[in-house]
Amino acid sequence: MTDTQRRLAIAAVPWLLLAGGLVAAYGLFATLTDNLADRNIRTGFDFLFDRAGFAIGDTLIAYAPGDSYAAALAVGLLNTLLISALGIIFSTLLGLAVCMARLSSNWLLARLSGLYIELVRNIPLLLQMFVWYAVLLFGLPGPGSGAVGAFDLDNRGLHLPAFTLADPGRAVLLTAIVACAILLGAARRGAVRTRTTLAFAGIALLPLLLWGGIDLPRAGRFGTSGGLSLSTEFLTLVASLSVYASAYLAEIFRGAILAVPAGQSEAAKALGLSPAQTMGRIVIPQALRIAIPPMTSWHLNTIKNSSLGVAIGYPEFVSVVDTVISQTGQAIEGVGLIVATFLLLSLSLSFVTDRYARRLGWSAAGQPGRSIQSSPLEPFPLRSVAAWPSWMRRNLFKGWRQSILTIAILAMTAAFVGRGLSWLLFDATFAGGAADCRLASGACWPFLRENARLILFGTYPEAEQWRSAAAAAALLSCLAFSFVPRFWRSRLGLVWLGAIAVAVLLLRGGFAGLPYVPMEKWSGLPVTLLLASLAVVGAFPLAILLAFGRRSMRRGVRWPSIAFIELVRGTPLIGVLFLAAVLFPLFVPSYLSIDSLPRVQIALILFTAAYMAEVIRGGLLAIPVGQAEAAHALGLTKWQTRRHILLPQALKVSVPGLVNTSISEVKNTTLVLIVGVFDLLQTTRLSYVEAQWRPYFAEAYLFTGAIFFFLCFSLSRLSMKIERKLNYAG
Amino acid sequence: MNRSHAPRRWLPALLAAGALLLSGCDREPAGTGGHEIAAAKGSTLARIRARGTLNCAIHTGQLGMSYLDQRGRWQGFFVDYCRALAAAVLGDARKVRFMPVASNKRFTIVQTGEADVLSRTTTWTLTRDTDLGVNFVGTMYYDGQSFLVPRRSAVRLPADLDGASICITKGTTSELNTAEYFERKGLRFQSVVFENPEEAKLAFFAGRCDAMTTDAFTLTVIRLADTAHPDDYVVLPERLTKEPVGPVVRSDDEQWYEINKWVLNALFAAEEMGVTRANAARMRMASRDPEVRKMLGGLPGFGKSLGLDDGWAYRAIEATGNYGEIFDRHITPLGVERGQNKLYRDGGLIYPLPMR
Repeated sequence: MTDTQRRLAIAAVPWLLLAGGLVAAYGLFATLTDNLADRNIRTGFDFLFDRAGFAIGDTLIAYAPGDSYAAALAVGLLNTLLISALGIIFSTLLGLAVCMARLSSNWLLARLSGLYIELVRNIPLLLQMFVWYAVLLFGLPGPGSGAVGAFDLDNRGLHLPAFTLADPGRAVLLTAIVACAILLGAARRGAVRTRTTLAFAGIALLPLLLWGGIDLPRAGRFGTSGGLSLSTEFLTLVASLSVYASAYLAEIFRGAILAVPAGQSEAAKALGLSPAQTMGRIVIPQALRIAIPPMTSWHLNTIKNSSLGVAIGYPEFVSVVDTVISQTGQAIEGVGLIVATFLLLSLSLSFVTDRYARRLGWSAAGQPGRSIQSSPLEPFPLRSVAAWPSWMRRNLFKGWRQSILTIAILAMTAAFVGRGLSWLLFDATFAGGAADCRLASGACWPFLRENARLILFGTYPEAEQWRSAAAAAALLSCLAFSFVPRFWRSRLGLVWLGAIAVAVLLLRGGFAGLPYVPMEKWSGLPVTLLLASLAVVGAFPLAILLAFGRRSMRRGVRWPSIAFIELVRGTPLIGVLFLAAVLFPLFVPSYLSIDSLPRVQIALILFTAAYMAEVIRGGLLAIPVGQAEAAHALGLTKWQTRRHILLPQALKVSVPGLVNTSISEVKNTTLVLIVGVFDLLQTTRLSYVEAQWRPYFAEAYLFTGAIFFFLCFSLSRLSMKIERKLNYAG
Repeated sequence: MNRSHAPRRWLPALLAAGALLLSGCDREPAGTGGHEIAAAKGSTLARIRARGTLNCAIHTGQLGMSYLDQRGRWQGFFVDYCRALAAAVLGDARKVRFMPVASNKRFTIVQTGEADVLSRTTTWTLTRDTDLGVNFVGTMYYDGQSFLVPRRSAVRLPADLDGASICITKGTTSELNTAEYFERKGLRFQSVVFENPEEAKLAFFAGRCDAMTTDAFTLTVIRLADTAHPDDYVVLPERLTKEPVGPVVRSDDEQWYEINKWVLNALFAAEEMGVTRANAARMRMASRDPEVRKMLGGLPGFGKSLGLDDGWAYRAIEATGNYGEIFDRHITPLGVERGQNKLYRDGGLIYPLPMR
């Protein structure tokens, strides 16, 4: 082959790929239309104007079952917006508070908030949500117990006094607000502005006083009625979204505050500003600019995570679409609506933040600060007893404020630990059955003895469960291997592949005397581990291609890569899973049937690939341009440059990021239960549905939560270990 | 950059060649692929025979209807229909692959052809029969929607539930019926919707809702199996709706539909004729009634018209027993009466079509 021929061949590759892709797309489309026609499924969006017929519990606008599907979807969309807005506000406030606590000079407070962050970040959101829901549902009293106050909390929700406005008042208020907005727009000057605002606030108060009223919650025939009711599902969703995001936001804020050059606060101190002033006027405003881009991206996550409401029956957008799909069978349109809506939401939030940042004269990309340093916590001198008193004086009892704080925290911790211990040990039941547990007030450990197998292995045939255990062990030992720096070679990927193959073969059986076990019986821990590890290993090569594709000079390659990455990253994982569970069968010929497990696996791989591709692209961007130019000058071809020069360097930089993506994948696997795959979380939920075990959900979630925490926490340690090693090496 | 000029000149020619090649390749396999689809479309029966197993979509877990027994085997009223069907079609009641499926995904799994038959509590309605590309085989169980309420709540009629919150499972007819019922009566209710019945149950017993609604059968079972004191709860006697439930198949295969319809009917007819699991073998050869022998294949029967051999009904009955036996095995032990599900001659609605 001559040089020209080789170049020709290489140049032809993308075009051939494109042509192949088009042919494949045509084939898929043909199959789809064929399948749809076959199954008499309607297409198009006409159904939106049909009568919906189902009721929705929480609505912000008037909705009755007689309204159209479009109205139902609007209700869902508004609920999503409300949940997202509240989640964003509360998580930001909580995140700031946790961040301040984390940066506190009080050793105890800093450590406790560190613990909070680690706990929240390493347990899947869905699990946290189920715990919140179970606590609110089983922990709170039922309705009708005790008198109803102005603020009433029972297991149906929170009942608040509502402000009502009779009809003429509404019109007046609306006019006042509109007039106010117009005048404010016209009067741009500061002083005028303030005066106008005050004047119109006064006018707006008038209708409120004249026509307004307060509707108090009262005891009705069925629980509390009247007032404003926030349902248990609503509270669960807002609480879990806020807490989950707060842990991440706290770390983002901390990083940003630490990235503000130390000279700034020193200068402020030198000018005589108090510590509070320094923080509020100098550090936080600068930190906020640095924090804005990562914070926005976390708020986008909160919007996407609000779709988890589908799992607890809160009627947000995805949940309503799910109902609509099951009533009309129009899965393609439904999933299309989910993807389009969330893309629109993400884009508009990015747009708004971008505009806001620009208006304040900030670059949306943030500023390069100094690199984030670990917290300046002084470790406890465990070894030298003589150093203890002075250490405690410095870190716990410096000044009276510190001392009070320390004592308060100590008292609270002691009370909490005391109650925890008595629940875990002293009041707990260790032997016997459900009947013995009902007599004791503490934890019910016989529950775990009876149900641990169900939680770990689910519906896998009991006689064969050792295979399930062996499969999980193979994958876990592979994880353990990954901790040894000696094995950090590219061959580690092959070892993982091997472990996955062994696990699949063990679970499947059908050879060497092992009976065949069909895929729908696989469940519990091995499924979770398998889904997560295959998602990561499978996504890796795809992510590399996508990362290079996105940086390619050719539009034919670059645009599809960008479209894929952005579409997937803009859609909540549930949307992608629905796509796999509901749509996949429509795109393949009917004689090919694929189990739901491989289906969600493919969805997870594609989803992970989009996120990994961005991490790897970040690595590629970090490589100096000189590297590629030098390779070019040395006569390396484009692929040689990529293979031998760019990729190794990019991967080295992006390994910590890739491990972090793996952590989110471990947590993301829990979402598969929504499309009916029995993962570890689903088997956990099954373990307490039986009447006798129903009160012991806490034990179940503690067990599963501990497993997830162990997996995610050890992975995050691995990421830090690799990062340290890289820093030393390079 | 200069280097890339040379290949560019060749590109159009190359592309043209590639396109030719691809279109040539495309035509051939797509054609054969098309035939395969057509063949698959044509005969579900052939596909099942080639596969060697019957793919049967069932409920994910409902006592009496489809549930896992101690040994991890699927059992139940609708599970036995799958077994009878597999015995009739494949000659072996064990050759069934059970596919548990949630309410809101059940039609998709039949529409896509993943499952050959959907055998679970699915209500037969006009829109489902016409819009979803499926056919209802027949009514295997007559049920109706009702409410489960705590006895102390003093609710005795559905209309007493004005302003109550009601736990419902998503994507079911109950969801639509409840909304329609309350709208018709001009009453209000708060719907609390759950992804699956287990969660709805859990929330109801925790006091999240004032009532739980679904088919009366399910409610009766829940009251018996999931409460420590069944007497604390009542299933309201009034039925909101008619809920005839039965197996479902895809609508594009007439032959497969007929097979299902007549296997189900054979189970009904066997009870009417007194053919049981125990005496089927004897009756096949020795019954005095030629109609019985014809149905069981003792005399040349109807197998050919269905594309099966003559022993199909005999094998189905031998595998599961007649309709009454299936009912007594799975439903009666739960304390649910046969009521409307008796044979027509005993005052029920089960009316076997003539097997001749």
